[in-house]
Amino acid sequence: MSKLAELTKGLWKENPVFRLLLGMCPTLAVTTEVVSGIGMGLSATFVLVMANLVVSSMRNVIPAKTRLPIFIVIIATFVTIVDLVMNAYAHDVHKSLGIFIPLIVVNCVILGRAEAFASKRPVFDSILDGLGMGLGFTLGLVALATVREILGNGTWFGMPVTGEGYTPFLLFVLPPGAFISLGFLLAGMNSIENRRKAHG
Amino acid sequence: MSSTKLILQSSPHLRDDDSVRRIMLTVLIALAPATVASVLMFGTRAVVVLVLAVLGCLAFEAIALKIMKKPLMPYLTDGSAVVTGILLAMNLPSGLPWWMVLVGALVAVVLGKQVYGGIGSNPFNPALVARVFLFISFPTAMTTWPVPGSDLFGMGADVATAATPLGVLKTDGLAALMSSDSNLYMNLLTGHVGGCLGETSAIALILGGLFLLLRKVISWEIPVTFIGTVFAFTGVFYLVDSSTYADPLFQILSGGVMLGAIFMATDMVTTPVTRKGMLLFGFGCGLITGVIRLLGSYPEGVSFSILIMNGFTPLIDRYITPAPFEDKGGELQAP
Amino acid sequence: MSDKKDSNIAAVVVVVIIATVCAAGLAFIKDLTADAIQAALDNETLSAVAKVVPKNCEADLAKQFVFPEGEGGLTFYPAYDKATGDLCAFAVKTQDDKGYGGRLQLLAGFSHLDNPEGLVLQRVYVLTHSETPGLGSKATVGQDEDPDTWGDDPVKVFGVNFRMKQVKDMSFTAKKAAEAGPNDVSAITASTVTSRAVTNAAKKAAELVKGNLEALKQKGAR
Repeated sequence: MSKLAELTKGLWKENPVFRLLLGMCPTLAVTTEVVSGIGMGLSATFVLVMANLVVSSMRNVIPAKTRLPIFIVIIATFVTIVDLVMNAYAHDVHKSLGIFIPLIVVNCVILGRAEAFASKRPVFDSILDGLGMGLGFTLGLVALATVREILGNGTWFGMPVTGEGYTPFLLFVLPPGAFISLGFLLAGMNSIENRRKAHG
Repeated sequence: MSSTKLILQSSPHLRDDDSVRRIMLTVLIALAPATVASVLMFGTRAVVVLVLAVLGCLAFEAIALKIMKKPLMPYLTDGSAVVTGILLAMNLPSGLPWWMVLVGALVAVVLGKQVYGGIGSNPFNPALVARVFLFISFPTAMTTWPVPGSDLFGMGADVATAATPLGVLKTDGLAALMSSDSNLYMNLLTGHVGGCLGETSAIALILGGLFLLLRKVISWEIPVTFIGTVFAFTGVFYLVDSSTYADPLFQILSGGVMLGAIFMATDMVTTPVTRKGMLLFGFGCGLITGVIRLLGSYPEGVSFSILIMNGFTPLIDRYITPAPFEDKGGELQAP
Repeated sequence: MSDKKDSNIAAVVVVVIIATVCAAGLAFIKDLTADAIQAALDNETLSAVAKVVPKNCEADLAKQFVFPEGEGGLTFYPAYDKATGDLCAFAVKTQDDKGYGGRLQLLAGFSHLDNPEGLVLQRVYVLTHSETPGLGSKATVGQDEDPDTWGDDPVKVFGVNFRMKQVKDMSFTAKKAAEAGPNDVSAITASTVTSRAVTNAAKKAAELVKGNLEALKQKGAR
């Protein structure tokens, strides 16, 4: 696989949100507005890249038996760094993401990439993989948040886009709206994918 | 053909379009008294909601069938979309903006039915899915209740409104409810109270229910256990503290209990097939309704309770299996 | 046998080393960001307080106190005139537990502290709530904007009910907008419970300030 493919596979072919269906908890919870989606996506991207980097560079010293606790310690460290730095310098975003920042620790995408990729591959590939997966995750969150914020609040990036007379569908900023939107986005992705396959 | 597996399914095994149409027709006739009552109480606004909901359901059904490349016939004319439309209208307040009614129709047909594969495959009652979707999306519009009997030939939202009896009970307490209407029980029976189109006249709904029972479209288990459980549950609270909790008679006559128990919780597709299962289903609906009404923050819980129990239906059907076969360690064996 | 033991020990040692390094790194970062986090938190409180006190006043977080002392007391943030430095307003953090979604916390600002009769409720600012989006949450409409843009229709902006009111005139009862008199609170449509919770929280603060004005002024004096 070329270096470019390592980077781009996370965006569509192995998109963590739409194709692997990993990290569903933050995906459903923080996508009420695009800004929080981006905040969560970029935080997760940072953690992914750094965790992949560290895990990959230490892959020859990490004992197989205790690799999972070690991965978690490494991931938790970077998550805590994000939590602290964000609280200090991006207080509003931190407030709106709330508990979901610490919960990045248990985001399956991150542990999954450390286990399945970074612990077996060279450092540079792992960084590209983390970056691609992180950006793919961000992309997924933004897509979902776009649907939910526009339908559920009549805004996009906090700016009104639907005009005065629009009555927002509150359901879409509530949990059921997350599931419904995700379902239709998945259906759309699958339909595109099927058509692509059908055409060769 | 790659799939040559034997498909095991619980009854009913025979699917016959004529019988679907016959059942739907019976349901429509049964709904007639309540529909007429709603028009008498809410006038042109009720007519608008009814017409829009039915036409909307038919139109979206046709579009959905087209997109999914299924034949329009017999699905469009089997009457199920019309029944869904009327049941949806029954679950909406009169005077709801026209486009919200259409959104409801879209949600009922597409999200409630077609995404699962169309008639017979939906786990949740489509009309209730739409009602709850609208209720959560547009809480203000969905809790604006025109006063029955006022401005019968008017249109639009410009009409006197009032809280439903259950709403008064929840926000202002029992004393306020009792002093708000001196003729409360009579009005609950005839339908002269605020509420959804079909939440008004208990008599009209019971008439329809008796007709359905007579024609064997529904059986007694679910309605009776549903209403009975609400009565018993709220009755216990009433006996313990009659100054805070309304009496059980009020509880079963008000809100959506009659409509839900007779028409929504008896939907064949989304409820258990066995008698024991039905008893359990009705009991669950009644219990959840009672808990939401008395202990929850919403004044009414019928639609939520039926949807929640719809979710349990596959489980109930699985564990309360029909008698001829016993389930032993995952293999089906003759006794 | 001993190989296995060795590898077990090695595995544990590696975990311990990595955990230690991570912990040390985190301690360093925590130390680095502690001041900035405290500043951000203070800033948040200050900006909320600034919203409910007159524009010429400024809060001093160092002077905050709880009154009455102990369990159940409310937190007071005294604010001082920017020019003269005299005590000019109180922001009171108050709450009511009977919102639709449970506890609702808000800041209420009081000025004209000369005597209990002249006391003015500047406005309220909802800090935390779990009210239904689109219904009860309307209590927060416009609260982050300049109150001068609110207009004077309490049906459009709920905060109007609590803006620049003589405390002695207020009835602190929430009624349906159609039935509410000039001294009543016009409830949010279909959200009587939320309206009542906000009203009761404000009432609690107002009564406390009105009844204990001298004691409070002494505590708040610089």
